[in-house]
Amino acid sequence: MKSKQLINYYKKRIHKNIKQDYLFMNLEQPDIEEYKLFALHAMTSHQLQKDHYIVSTMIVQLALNTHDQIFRSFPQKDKHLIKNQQLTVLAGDFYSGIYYQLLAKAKDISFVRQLAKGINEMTQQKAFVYYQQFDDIETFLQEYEKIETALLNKVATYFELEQGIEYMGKWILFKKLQLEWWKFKNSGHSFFQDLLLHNVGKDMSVNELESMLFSMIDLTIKKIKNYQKKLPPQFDMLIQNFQHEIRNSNLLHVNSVLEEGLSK
Amino acid sequence: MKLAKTYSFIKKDLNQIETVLEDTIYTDQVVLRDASLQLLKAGGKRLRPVFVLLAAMFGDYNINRVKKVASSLELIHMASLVHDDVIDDSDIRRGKPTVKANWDNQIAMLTGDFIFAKALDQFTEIDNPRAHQILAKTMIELTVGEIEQIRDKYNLNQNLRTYLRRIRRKTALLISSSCQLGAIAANTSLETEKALFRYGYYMGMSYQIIDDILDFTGTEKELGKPAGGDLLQGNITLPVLYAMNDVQIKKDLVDLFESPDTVNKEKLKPVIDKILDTNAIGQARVISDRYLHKAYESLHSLPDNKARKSLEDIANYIGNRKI
Repeated sequence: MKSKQLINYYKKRIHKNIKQDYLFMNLEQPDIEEYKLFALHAMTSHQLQKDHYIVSTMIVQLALNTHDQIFRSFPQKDKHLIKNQQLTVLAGDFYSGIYYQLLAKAKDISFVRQLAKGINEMTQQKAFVYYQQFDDIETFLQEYEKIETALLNKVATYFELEQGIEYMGKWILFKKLQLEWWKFKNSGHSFFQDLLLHNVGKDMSVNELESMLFSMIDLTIKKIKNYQKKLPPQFDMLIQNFQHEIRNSNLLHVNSVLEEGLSK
Repeated sequence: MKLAKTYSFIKKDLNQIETVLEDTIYTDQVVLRDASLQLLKAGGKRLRPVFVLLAAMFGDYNINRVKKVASSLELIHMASLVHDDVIDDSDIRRGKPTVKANWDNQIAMLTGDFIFAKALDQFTEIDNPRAHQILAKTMIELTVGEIEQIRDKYNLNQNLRTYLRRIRRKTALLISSSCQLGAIAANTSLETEKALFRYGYYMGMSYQIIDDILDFTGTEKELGKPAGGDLLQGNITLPVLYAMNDVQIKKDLVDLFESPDTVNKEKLKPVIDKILDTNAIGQARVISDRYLHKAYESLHSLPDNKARKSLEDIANYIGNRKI
């Protein structure tokens, strides 16, 4: 199966598992982070039960992402919005229950434990990052990367792929920044943008923020390119994907493109 | 009689569970630690651990194994409470500020997720897949019960069956699962496990109905929240369902709920007074008593020991509780 087909196959499976009539009627379908699906697919490519690992991990990720959509305080007057927020709390709880049920039915208790440890680390890191003021975006992103990769790192550890964790972290960050930049360019709003504005870029203009984001993509690309350590074969897919992106992406910084030309 | 007196012989084991709870939620992350501890110190009856311990006494009781089940269930209950306070926008629980009031909704969400993860991590030390399947199903049903509560808000065309199904999911299942999982942790016979499950289920149903009655009959001071709060939030509970047999009360509620945004304490007060003047509370109590009776009956097949006596006493206490 080609990667686009694969992604769609897993998305369908995930949506089927988390479908609950009333939530489905009242909330938008949760956004599945394709790059994380892809990383999971790469890490579990040698596993017989790969679908089971990919689907359960992504459902946990969805549960925790869903809870990020809760406002710090409820709007007092807008009953419709309040109901939406109430259901969003429950949607996250519901997805958590589904992940647990999937693994319990498969009698895979050790993977339940592994993901629970990932949730634990992620919530602790969120409590730190969401309530912290950062002096610069680089430090912010170093800490933010830990939120993005908390679950995937646990999966990597579970399959003894620790050697690839550092590379995967940079790859995930690259994909995340690319996605956020694209949203930014298309006037899309995101939780990540809010975080950047509130926790790093206070008093920053939209243009300054865009340029900051751009320079961070550039920096992350350099870090990935300079990565020298040997990786387990499971990560070949991520390397190939990165190289493909570098060749075809139209959002790379001019400097990167020039350097790419020089290195040939 | 005080509730704690009915199971004083397990006090030492309950203290061990309290220590496990504190140890389990410990983290170096200051905000999550403080928020979780605040929740833990707010107290509560610790009914679920009590049910786990007592149920386990009908089998091979090993506190080191049973305490993992008991503390996990209490943590899952706590995680659901902290999220409930976000859903209900509650600033006070048991007379004390909630996590969302002391910090904000986001911290409350993170605290709930953190405690949930700790509970699951702890529970994975129980190596029986069936126990995990039961707990997973319970958690899903609990959430679906809450979703249904939101779906049914301000809907006056509900019937007894809708209400009972909702409270079964929302409350009874976690109590029945506590009894069942205690039995499983102690390797009781399947028959004993089923009897304990039934006891917990009937107790849970009665417990929630009494809770819904107290919401009308309790004072703000006793409840730690405004009386009539459920109806104010649009939740149609058993006393309301019975009271709506009175045509005038039903009409008042239909008029009031036509524009839910304008419903407030003052507008609701005369309707609550009218409900209290009917025999709705008495009728709801009859249903609660029927469940209690079934709970007692479920215990008949079990050996006559201290644990059984305690379970009977708890049922007695729940049936007569004033708060």
